[in-house]
Amino acid sequence: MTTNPHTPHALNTPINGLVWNADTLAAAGGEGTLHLLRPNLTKPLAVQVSDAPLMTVIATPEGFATADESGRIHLTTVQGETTLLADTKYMFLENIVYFAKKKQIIAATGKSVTIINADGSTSQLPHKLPSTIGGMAISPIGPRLAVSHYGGASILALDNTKNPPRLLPWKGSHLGLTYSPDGKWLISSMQEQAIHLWRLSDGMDLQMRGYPSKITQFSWMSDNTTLGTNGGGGVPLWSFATEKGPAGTQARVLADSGVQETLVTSLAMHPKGPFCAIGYTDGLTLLTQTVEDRAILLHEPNAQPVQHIAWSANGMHLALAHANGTVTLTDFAALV
Amino acid sequence: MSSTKRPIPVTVLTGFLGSGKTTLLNRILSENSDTKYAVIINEYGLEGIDDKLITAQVDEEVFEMNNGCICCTVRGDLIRILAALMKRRDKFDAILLETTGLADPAPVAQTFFADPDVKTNTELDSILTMVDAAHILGQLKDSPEATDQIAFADTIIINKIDAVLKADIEAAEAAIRAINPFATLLHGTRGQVTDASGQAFSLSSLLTRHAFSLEHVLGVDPEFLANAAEGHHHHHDADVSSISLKSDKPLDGTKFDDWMSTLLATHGQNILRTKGILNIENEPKKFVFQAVHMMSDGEFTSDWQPDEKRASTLVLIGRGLNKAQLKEQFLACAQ
Repeated sequence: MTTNPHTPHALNTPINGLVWNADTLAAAGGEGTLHLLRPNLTKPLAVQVSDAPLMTVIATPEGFATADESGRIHLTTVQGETTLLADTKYMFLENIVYFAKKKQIIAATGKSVTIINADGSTSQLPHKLPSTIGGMAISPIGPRLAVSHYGGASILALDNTKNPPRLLPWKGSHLGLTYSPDGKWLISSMQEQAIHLWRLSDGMDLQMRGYPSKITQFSWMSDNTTLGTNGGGGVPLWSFATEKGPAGTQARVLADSGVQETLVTSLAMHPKGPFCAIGYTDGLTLLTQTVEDRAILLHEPNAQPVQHIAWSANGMHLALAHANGTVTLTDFAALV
Repeated sequence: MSSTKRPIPVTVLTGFLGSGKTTLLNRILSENSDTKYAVIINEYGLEGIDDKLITAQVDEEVFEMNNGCICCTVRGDLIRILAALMKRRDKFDAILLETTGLADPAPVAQTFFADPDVKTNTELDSILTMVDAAHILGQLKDSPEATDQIAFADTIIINKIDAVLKADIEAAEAAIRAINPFATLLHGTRGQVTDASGQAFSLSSLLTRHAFSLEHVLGVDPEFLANAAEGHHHHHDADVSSISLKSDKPLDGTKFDDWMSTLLATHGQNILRTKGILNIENEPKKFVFQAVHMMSDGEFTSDWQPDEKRASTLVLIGRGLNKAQLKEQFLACAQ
């Protein structure tokens, strides 16, 4: 018998974000604590970042950035030193992204976008969006920020803020947002259980419907052309390998539960290989081989929906968070 | 951590500016100190509220659902805030949502039917509407919002009754009943709430009415549909009124389903609320049904008791209801 590859940590708080920076994992807690975990570390390091619940966490070159319920942004190093970077005063701030080129954190603050510089100074982009921003994504190929809102998505230039936004219209409320890794497509998840795709070269757009639930997570396969999402009975794979994208094709579905009530709540594609970790509403978590759709068990059903899954960048460690506030670390090498 | 817990009840408080919403809200919050509330407000800050409360201010964002149903609107701001509140470890027992005097209650109610996450984490307990006894008749004439707030209400408090004559209260009650026969009518004076006979009505029970629970429609309120009276005839067809449909003959489930789906799909824009307890042929259980515009919910609940008369009752509240046709179509489901 090899050693058990799975190490559970009961954090006893809602986990509102899970992200790796090298071999340190950060879990954003609903009690204002950032929990730092490392493989081989028996106990998580609990860093009291804020007196308000942490709404999300992202990785930055120096460590992690968090947004809290009262609108503050804190930076925390992987060693656990934390500092207040800025206070946007925007209640329920939960949408931040890191813009590496200018070392800025960009925050969705209602109908406008707030830029936070490395020295903590802030400014607002001049654009007023038609509704509260749903999601944000930085273009992988240029200094552009895409934001989703009611009525579509808008692309804002980050180098020349006087440029008018490019509106990509589609009726309805758009929530999450992701760029394809080649920067040629923008994909939104919608209030009405569909995803919407825009080809940026010409604005051609597509709607992919038929999901039984709302889509809240996207994950790109390491081939950089295949997108998986949650919200279905399994993970539908949408191919962007050709100019046409997934137009006129049927998604191949990985690891379909086959049960109406059991849906995929979280997913994470392996950063290097043909694997996808998939978590379901009943707590079941599988590691699926994406070519042959064979799976091994990562976690038994425990009636706790899987809320987040994250791979370390080297693909050697996997973290998953269940709704009861338990984070489980899995050593990939010990598994396969 | 929401998955293992019961959904959190939400009470929606509506009413025109000046009707006394804020006074009532403050009394509820100060009296029920063992219950922890999250308060969501729209237009202005609440003064003198305990700072231990979780308060969130939202700007109304009404979104049309892109599903081909024109009246299917939801409140995007509520979907967002309700999800954000679930991220706290320090939870609360209930949510109070105060809307502006001009807010349309339909998108608020529909949010609880249409959004899967809102449905999982929270449940709409009831819609509570405050009206000012001295002004309600004028407001009903002048503003469709006042009519809608009464049509959607589960509980209506006629407030400031000490400032008007008994005849005025009776006139207000008659006008309210003509629009909404199934709401519970209460009286209010200076933050004290009583039932129509003058008995004190506890504030905590205002917040645990379970008005949208199908079991409740049936059980706790035996008077519910039976007392539903048809709207007064001096109203025009375009006004909001109600119709109560009854049948002693068992309904054909498929026929009813076809009729109701078609009716709500074609006329759901004008039908504000529907509630019913139905006697379906060859089914031992009661079928309980309710809808807000086109969004409906129905299921078989408890058994018909041996000593109980198996009968169907359905109440619709809407604008310009074609009552003769509705009656004919409903009765046709029993053949």
